[in-house]
Amino acid sequence: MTDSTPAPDSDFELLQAWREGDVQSGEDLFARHFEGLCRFFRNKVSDGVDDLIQRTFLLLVERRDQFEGRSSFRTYLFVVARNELYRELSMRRRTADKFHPLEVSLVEISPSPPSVMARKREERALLEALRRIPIEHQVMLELYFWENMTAGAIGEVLEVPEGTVRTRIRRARALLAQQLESLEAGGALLDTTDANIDQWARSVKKVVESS
Amino acid sequence: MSEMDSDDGLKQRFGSGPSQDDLEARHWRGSVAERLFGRGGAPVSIGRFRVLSRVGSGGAGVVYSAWDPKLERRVAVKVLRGAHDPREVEREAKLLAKLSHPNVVAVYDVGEHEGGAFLAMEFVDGETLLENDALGWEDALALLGQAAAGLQAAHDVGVVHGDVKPRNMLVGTDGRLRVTDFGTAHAGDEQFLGATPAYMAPEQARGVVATALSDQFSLCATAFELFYGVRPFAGGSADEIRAALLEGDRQDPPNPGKIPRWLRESLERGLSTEPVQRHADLNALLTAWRRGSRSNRGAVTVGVLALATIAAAAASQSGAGVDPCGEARERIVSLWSPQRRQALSDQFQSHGLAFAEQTWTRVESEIDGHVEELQGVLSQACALPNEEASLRRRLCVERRIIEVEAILDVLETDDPAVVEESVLALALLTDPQGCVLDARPLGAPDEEERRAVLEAVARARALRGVGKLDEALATLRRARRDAHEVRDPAVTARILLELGDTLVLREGVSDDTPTLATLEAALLAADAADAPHLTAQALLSLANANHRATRFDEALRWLDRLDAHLQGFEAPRLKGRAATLRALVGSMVGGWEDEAATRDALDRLRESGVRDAWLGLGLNNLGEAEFEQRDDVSAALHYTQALEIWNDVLGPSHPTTAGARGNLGEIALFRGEFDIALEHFLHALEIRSAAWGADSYWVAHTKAHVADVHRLAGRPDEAESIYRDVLAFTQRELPLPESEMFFALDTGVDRLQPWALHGLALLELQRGDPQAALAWANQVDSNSQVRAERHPDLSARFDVKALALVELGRFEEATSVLDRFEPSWTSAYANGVYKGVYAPLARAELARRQARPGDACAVLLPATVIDDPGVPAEDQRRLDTALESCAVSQLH
Repeated sequence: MTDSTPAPDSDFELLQAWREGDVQSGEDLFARHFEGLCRFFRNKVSDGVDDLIQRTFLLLVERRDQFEGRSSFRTYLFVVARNELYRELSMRRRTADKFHPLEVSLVEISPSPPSVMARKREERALLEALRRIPIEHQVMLELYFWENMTAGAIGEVLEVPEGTVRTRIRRARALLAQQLESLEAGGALLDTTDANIDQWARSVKKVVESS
Repeated sequence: MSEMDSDDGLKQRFGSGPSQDDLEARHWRGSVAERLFGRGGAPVSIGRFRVLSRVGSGGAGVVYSAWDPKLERRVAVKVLRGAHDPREVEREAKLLAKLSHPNVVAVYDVGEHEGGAFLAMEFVDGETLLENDALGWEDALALLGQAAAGLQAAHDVGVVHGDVKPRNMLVGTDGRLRVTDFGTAHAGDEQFLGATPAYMAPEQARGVVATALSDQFSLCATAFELFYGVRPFAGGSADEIRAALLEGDRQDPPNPGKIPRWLRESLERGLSTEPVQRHADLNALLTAWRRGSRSNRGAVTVGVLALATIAAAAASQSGAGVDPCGEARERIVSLWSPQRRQALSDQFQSHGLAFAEQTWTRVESEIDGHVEELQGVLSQACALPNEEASLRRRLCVERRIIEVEAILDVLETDDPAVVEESVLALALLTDPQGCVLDARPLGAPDEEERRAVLEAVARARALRGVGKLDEALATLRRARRDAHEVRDPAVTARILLELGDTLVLREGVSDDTPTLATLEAALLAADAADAPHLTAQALLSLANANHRATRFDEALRWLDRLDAHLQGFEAPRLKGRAATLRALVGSMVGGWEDEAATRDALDRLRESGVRDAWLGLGLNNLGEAEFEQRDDVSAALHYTQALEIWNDVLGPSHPTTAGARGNLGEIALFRGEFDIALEHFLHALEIRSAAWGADSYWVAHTKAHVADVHRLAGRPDEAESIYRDVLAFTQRELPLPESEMFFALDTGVDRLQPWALHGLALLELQRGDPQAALAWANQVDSNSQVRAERHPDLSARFDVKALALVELGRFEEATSVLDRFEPSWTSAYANGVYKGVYAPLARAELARRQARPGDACAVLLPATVIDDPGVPAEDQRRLDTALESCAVSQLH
């Protein structure tokens, strides 16, 4: 949890006030968490991002009691967001098969790319690579790196033990490295075929900084 | 976290994530906030309910999503427009609140807001029936059945809906339909003008107060639109629609073909202009749908409709005693009605299959017997004094009924392959007597979800029985999704078990397939459910899967566990299957030293008294395994037993029996008993021609065998004409029927052609014309040549080419052919696949002609030592002569 994040209690207080009819509290809560939710949904669905955000906020009101005192507000937020995302994706899938977030990637479910939210080429490559690994892995990496969540909190979101999260993060990194590599194979940024993503990321960093 | 934090590179790469301050994101920020916090003038609260957002508006009013702080739940609040008398609204709301029917949206509260009335209702997470498009008619009918049940329940307490239409039917994400907006739309003028008249009954259009029969009309109009995609009364304007409605000027459905006639007729009656001509009430309509679905193929629909009817009956009679056995008895009777029997019989005969008559007789008597047994078990169950035991057994019968429904449903598929596999599929029905032993504690009643899952599993099993594995898997995947809701280990076990059994056939068993893991999970679930019958099934399936994966020791371990588990159980079928499997595994593990174990297993099998088609299959497979080991005596015994059983169970003209005949023919050929071989092959040929027509893969295959017999028995002319037939079949350009593609692609036509050419070439060699022999041999296409290097049995087809080349004195070419195929021949000898003598003969002849008699002897000796009764006299003579001449030259 970084310093800029508000203390969990105050978020829950805002929610409670909103439930009791205080619209201003609702708006404050929304302003605090819009960006995270928007980022979360935006590279996963090509349309209906606004509906997903709206639904998530409404569900926060409804499911509040199930989480009281158990989680931080942001954990709660992403529990709801992830459930809504999976519900949406499982409705959008084209076959009758069950939706398996640990097996299927976003490109397999909705091949059309999401609206562009990355200006830099290497950022786009990262977003695209994320779409090519199983969704559960994608969600995990994003929560870890973008939302600065701990393995314990991620475990609560994904409903798995903390140890499992650690194992999965290793797996997710390897999968992501593979995808990044195949995406940028032959590209100017790629000067090594080493599967070690850390090294590769450092080399990317150097190129970016020097340009 | 240290380990994960250490990878700064990746952290750097991710950064803080893409920022969300671009134009699109800012637009969303504004629009979502607007919808959530209603700066557009939405009220902050209505009564005690805190408004969260506005979700829609219609003719009758505006609907908000709101929070109920008192009961802490999300609700939908509808604020009514116009001149509703709050007291009238309240009166109806109270009636509805009392109703509490699963297919009627729950009304929590009613009150006044800014001078108008409002209703607080159950918030349904889902969509309206209108949005739920692309439904098959069976699914649509199941939903409409729920709507009818809900409406009937309301009618029973005196509430008329008055505005039945797709928009007023909400289908939740749980698949349950709720009728909503009750009593908010009476035939006041204002309402009439505000609503679309497309679903309205004619009497409402005339301004008469709506009745239950008006609701029926509107429901049928809704159904009409759902099934046919158009509304029954059309017009460019409300006035035109009203005119069509009053004149009874109904549209003809655009595509009446797909929707069954009974369904159309039931709708037409409900859409009668005169209310008295409609169905007496919605229960009558439901009954008509139920009966129709049953006579049609909608087993699944029947289930849902049946429940809708039961729910409606329960709601209306509020607990009045219904004879539970009567309901079940009626279900069994209508399940196998004379009409259905006739329809199925007609369908079996409709494909012109020669064996259809015999197969039908067996299918009919099998179903008759099964249904009779079910009735017997049910009667016993109903007579039981202990209410719980009785109920438990009745539920078990219920599950068996579902199985029969599913299998009838599949048998009614218009597909000749289904006819062929029908007896095998019926043998998968669970023994009704099992219900007598069902020791399972009474679990949850078979509620809707549970029932739907059981139906899906039964359907999947029936599909597996007739060989439609992909459909079976798709059905199971859906069932697995639904089963999540049920949370009953017995249900989970059934799904996993069926899934595993299907995967064994579809995906095989290896470390890459989930097959074994699925079956092991099934075993765990069965244990958890305390369901001994399921546990036994899972153990058997595990043994079978391991056997297929050639993990024989594992298979035996599972069989041992099964034997221990079955001790003291009366389960003849299971014990029979276990014994067959043990015999199969035993023959693979112990080889022929362990013959006693195999015999013992077969004795046990005979004692079990079980004779079904699957047992025949087991025996046939056992024979094949034995013949591969060249144990022709055991193989012949088991082929004969398989043939006997199949003759009994499937009938002598069923194509499956031809398989056992063909196998017996091969044994006779191997033994040099040409007359017996010919008899078997001709019999198989007759059955297969009658079943599939003269121009089919298996007929050509059998003909090639017949030609081999003639050639080896010294009747070259007969042999030649038949080989030419087979060759013509392989060269035709007609596409094969889909049912034969499998064989053709796998082992079929591409092997038949080299087979026929090989036979023709050999005939020419026997006649002393190596030139002609070579001409035939050269016709083998290059594809086969390439593949032959890897397939010993195919490579054997090239030995004659080598021999012809030697006899023509083209030694270099002969050597090249020999060298090319030698490795695969050698391995073929080792496996006992290649029984031909021409390769060693060619090598020896080459050595002799090149004056290397020692080499000739070295090649021939092992070939003659084989002492194979399958080597025909003609070939044996050649071998002996060659050996003699090499020995003589060596002496010089």
